[in-house]
Amino acid sequence: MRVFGKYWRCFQMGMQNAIEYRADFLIGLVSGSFAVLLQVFLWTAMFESGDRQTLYGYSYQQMIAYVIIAGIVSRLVATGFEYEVAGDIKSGGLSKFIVQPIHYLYFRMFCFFGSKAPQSLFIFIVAIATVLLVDGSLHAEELLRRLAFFVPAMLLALALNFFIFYCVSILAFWLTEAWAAFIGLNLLINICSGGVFPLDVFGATFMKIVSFSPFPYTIFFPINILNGKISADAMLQGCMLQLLWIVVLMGCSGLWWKQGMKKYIAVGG
Amino acid sequence: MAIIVKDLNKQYHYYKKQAGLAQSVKNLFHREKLVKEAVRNISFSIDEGEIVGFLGPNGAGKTTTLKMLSGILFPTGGSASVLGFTPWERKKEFKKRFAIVLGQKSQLWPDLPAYESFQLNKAIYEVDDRTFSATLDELVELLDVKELLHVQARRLSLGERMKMELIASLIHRPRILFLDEPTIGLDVISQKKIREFIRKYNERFKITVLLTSHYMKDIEELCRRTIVINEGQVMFDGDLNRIKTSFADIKRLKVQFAEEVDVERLRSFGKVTEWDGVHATIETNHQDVPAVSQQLLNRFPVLDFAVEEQPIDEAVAKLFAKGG
Amino acid sequence: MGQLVAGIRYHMKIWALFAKYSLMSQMEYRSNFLLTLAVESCFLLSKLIYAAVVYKTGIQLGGLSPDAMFLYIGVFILITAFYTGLFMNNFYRLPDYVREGTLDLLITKPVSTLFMVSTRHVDFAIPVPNMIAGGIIIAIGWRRLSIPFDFVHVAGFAGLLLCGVFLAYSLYLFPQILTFWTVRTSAVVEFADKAWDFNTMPMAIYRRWMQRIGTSLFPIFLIFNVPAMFLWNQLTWKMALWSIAAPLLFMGLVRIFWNVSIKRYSSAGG
Repeated sequence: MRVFGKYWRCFQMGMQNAIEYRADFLIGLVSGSFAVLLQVFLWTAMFESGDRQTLYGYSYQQMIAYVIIAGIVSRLVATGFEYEVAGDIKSGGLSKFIVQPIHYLYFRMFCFFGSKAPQSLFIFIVAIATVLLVDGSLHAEELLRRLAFFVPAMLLALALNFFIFYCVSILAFWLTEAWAAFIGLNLLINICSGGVFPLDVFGATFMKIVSFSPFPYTIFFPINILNGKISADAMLQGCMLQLLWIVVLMGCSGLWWKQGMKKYIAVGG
Repeated sequence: MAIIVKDLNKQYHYYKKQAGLAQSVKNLFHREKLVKEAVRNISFSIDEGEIVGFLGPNGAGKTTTLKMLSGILFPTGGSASVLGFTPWERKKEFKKRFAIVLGQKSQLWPDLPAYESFQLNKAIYEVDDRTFSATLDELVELLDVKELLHVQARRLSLGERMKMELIASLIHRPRILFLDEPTIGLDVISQKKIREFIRKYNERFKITVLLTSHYMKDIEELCRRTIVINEGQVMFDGDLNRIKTSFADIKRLKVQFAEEVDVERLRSFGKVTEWDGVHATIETNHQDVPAVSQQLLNRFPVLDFAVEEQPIDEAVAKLFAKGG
Repeated sequence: MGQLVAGIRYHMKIWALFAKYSLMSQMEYRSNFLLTLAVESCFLLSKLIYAAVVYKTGIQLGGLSPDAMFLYIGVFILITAFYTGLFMNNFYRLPDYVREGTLDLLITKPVSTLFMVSTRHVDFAIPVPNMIAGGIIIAIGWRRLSIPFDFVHVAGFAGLLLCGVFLAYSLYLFPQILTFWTVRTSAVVEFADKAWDFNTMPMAIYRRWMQRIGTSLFPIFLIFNVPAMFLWNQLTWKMALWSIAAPLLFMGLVRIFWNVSIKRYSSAGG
């Protein structure tokens, strides 16, 4: 219980921080909505000019719902602690954690979850409202069935994205200019996760390749649960894969971190 | 007259800051406006070719006055004429005739040799090739920096960089030079070299110099005339020697002993301002320094020994606390 | 007239020195230079994806053939290259100049302070990928639409491109000047920056009323769409004249705003 109390403090710290910087979150949300707006107009124009029922396998309603929810889910799973990790590595702040009885990974993880807690509720409401607005014919039973999977899938997605970017942040042990890697990877991972366009848009081959990576399970998969594009079996299977990836990445990050620490201690960080 | 200043005033407004959420919400609607009078009715005039020192503690209004005279700041009231121009009209002809060096700010490009920054000023001030190379040669020779011209500015020492700042500001042969703390943070030898340069340059080109400094030595060696300014007002204007005896002669002896010494025994050498057993600071008159040092060294197990000036802020503050 | 030519030559000479010095400085940090190149390529890629997605459907977007889309996207990328290379970093530095007092030194120089502030740093890494990609995409569109490659078309296109760059300069300077009035400008700056990306696609995808606002009051569409419209014969005379007048008008406005703000800076100050 004592152990848990320690990390509960980290969670609270993250939450307080998020509340303190709520203005930044809102500004980010508004400026992020510009890209979503562009997409809404783009798809509207394409459906109007093209005179087709579906594009890339999506109906107009599904596509609009997808891009709106992708915008906010991207924001929800977005990290940012990479820079803090890199800072800790560069400035020697890690040494503090070597002597303290607190595990760096858990410290970061609970901080991250804490910071996401206040936003989550808000984003869940917006996501559900979007689905309802776009698809008026959706009845309550169906919505509840989708939510039953969406909520756990979203939480798993959050954890999964944490581990993906935790692995990315470990790069800072070896790269002195880690910022560039962070920005570049952030962009590419967001695209591969379906944060900009649904992944089907890039073609079957691309789909096949990324489906062997953890990325689709952070954004593309949960949205399509809510969007009603996935069967119940596939939902279950997807959630299992999310879990699997979390375990794999957790193991990898642990090993990788140890390698990094060896270097950190060797140079006398 | 190179500079004529009459009843110059500068006030700024700022807002009272209060802590707490309730206060910051309140501040949205109503903020308490406060006024600071940085410069109050200053008047003086300076002849061409003079070097005048501007002396005073931090926040006395020295830099603010300098910034008004160079047109960076607008005054709240009063007038000034610099070479016949009103500085804050920012006429191009005016800007080409003066230069300002701010000791804390650099106009050099840090990653480039200083020579490139001179080239840039050459283009900006429209200096022709022949004048440029003649001026540069002269300045380089006076400052003895020939081999530093092609070294990146950020690799130069503080003193070397200040020399380059001076060259950069003088490359267009200004008639007036404003120097704000030109020797701040420099080692003693660099300070001396900068002072020598300013004096020589003034003698050779009859340039008018107005300089502010924290260091008594700068003012003492360079300026026959000093304007002491405190709390935005001129307290004294004239030859510093007239008031010098009252403060400038005091020196500080900082001594470290090998073993604990009795403070009472030290008191006979002067005023002991700091003492912790093995370290002591003793204030004494300038002319007594040799004798006092000698005796200290003879009678005590001295490990380390330094003679320092009394900082100008304290000196001026003392002067006006006494004089009223 | 002679005075004007001399003035332009004077400023161009200084600008060329700025460019030379910026390049020299950036070469001091080569790994940074290369990383910036790499990151910028990622951004470029994320923009090109939009084009690819539309192109693959073969849909005539708002009456534009997929080939005509090339022209619009190419112009967007090319103007982005010019803006980011010549001005963006200068604009971002303005709050620092104010906070750190660098502005004081710039004010005392016998050149327009606005000119100094907005041209001092030329970035060579950021625009490279955009310059190359934009050039290639425009060339492809030009060929596929069989637009004649003659003086009228090239000069008209280049002229309107230049107008676009100047309009971008004038518009995007506004939010940074706010730094003279309030400490927190980051929100406005971020909104303005994100609004830039509305032009990833031709303005034809937006509603008519949005197009009207975006070409008049807040002319962010005007910056990018005009050169391509000219080549594609969609430019009306009215629009052509406006796209030449707008940069002048907004340049005038931003200069007034600048002068008022710098006056405020000098009146407050300390």
